[in-house]
Amino acid sequence: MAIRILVGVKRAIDYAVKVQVKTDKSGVVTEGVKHSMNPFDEIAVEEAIRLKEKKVAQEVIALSCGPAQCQETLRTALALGADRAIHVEVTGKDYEMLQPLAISKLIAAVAKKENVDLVLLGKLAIDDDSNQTGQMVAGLLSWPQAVFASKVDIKDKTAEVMREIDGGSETLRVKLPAVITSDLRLNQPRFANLPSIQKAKKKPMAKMSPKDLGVDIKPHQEYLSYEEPPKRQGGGRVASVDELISKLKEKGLI
Amino acid sequence: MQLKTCEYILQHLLPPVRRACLLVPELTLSILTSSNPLWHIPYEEAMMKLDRSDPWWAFLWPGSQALSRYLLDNKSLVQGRHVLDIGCGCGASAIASKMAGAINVIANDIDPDALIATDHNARLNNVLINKFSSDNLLQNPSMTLNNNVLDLLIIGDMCYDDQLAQQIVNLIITARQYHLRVLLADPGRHSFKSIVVSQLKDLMKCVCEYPIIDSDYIESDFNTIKIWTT
Repeated sequence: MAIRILVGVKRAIDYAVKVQVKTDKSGVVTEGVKHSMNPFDEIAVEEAIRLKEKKVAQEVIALSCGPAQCQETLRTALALGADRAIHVEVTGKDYEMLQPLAISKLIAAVAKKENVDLVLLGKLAIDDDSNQTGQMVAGLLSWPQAVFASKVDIKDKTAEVMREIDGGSETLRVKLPAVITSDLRLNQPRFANLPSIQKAKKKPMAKMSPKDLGVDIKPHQEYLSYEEPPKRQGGGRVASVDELISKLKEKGLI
Repeated sequence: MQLKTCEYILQHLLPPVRRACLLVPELTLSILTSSNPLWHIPYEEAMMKLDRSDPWWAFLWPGSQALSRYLLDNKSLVQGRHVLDIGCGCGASAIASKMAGAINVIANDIDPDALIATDHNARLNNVLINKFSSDNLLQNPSMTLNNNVLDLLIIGDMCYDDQLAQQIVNLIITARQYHLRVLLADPGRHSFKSIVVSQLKDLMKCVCEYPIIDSDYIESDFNTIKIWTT
């Protein structure tokens, strides 16, 4: 029986943007800044679509939580091959304060509602680097998890997942339903061309609120401040090894 | 800010494609097909090259393909008649109406670029569209229907969300009051089934079905396009 997959996609500041901290240190500048689908989510979407092409999956549902602009990210997922999209709308201050635990609760609620066999997520988002959502979704659903996946094979409601770890790699076997998060080398994502984006604009997009899912998105963490990394100080030049040694001694480094 | 006019794009980026699709080889259209390099690049690059983010008119969608085929195969429906093409896009259905013998064709689209494209494409097929309109007919049908002599409304694949589908239902009911026939194409959209068919099942019937055979338009969800009429 072909499985059904829920893929989470996040609209994050584009990887090529030079991020700036706001002058009041309350966050980073997002107004007028280029956003795109979190690169690890692109990899997750690609994996879901490949599973559909292999006929291992029969349906891919894309999910995103946030303001109206998330619909653009969802359209991209639809253009890449997702069958339908769900937009959980969170706006304004609620969105600014939206944290991984709340997102995990929303994803878990949708996964249950849609009765999916697999939740595929990026291992982390490149804006907050939290690397928590996949793990917490699995915990909330009491599902097995295989994170940092570099290879996924699914057969007979079981997933064999190779994970890249510090010592090399390990392969896990997990029974579905499960949560898998994508790592960099899982695949090379395709891109969406213009015709597929236009076609995607006619694909079904459902909208709902956290309240519709019975989820309380109240934040539990308070962000105290954001700082830019210290500015790089200029270096100095030395004329010889002896000079280098005496300079290092001078600075008390040797 | 848009730097390139629609005329520029039609002249320089979208050369005329003869036999624009397998279903309607009679048409020559300046549209994007897989034989154009713009088809194969990432969408952000394509949008930058076209200076547009929503160029519906640059494609010959299956709805228009099916309507055009039906009109050309059933010329008696339009011969000597006044036709209004709603959401004309590249203009294929409007052009097919003229080719089939309509005496007067109005091409309507809320995107003014679509009207420029329709005019350009009509000339490629040696026909002239009589009038262009950018009225939003789904929101306010009466004005256009009041001010023009009409016999037939043709609508492509537009019932793809609930709000649009309901507006189309209202338009069809209004058209009936003006004794206008409606011809509509749909590939099996959920909103069409759940809203249009369920509300108008006694008023509309499916008269024809065409396969979607162009690889450019094959989608996993749909294999055919149906023509419905009041």
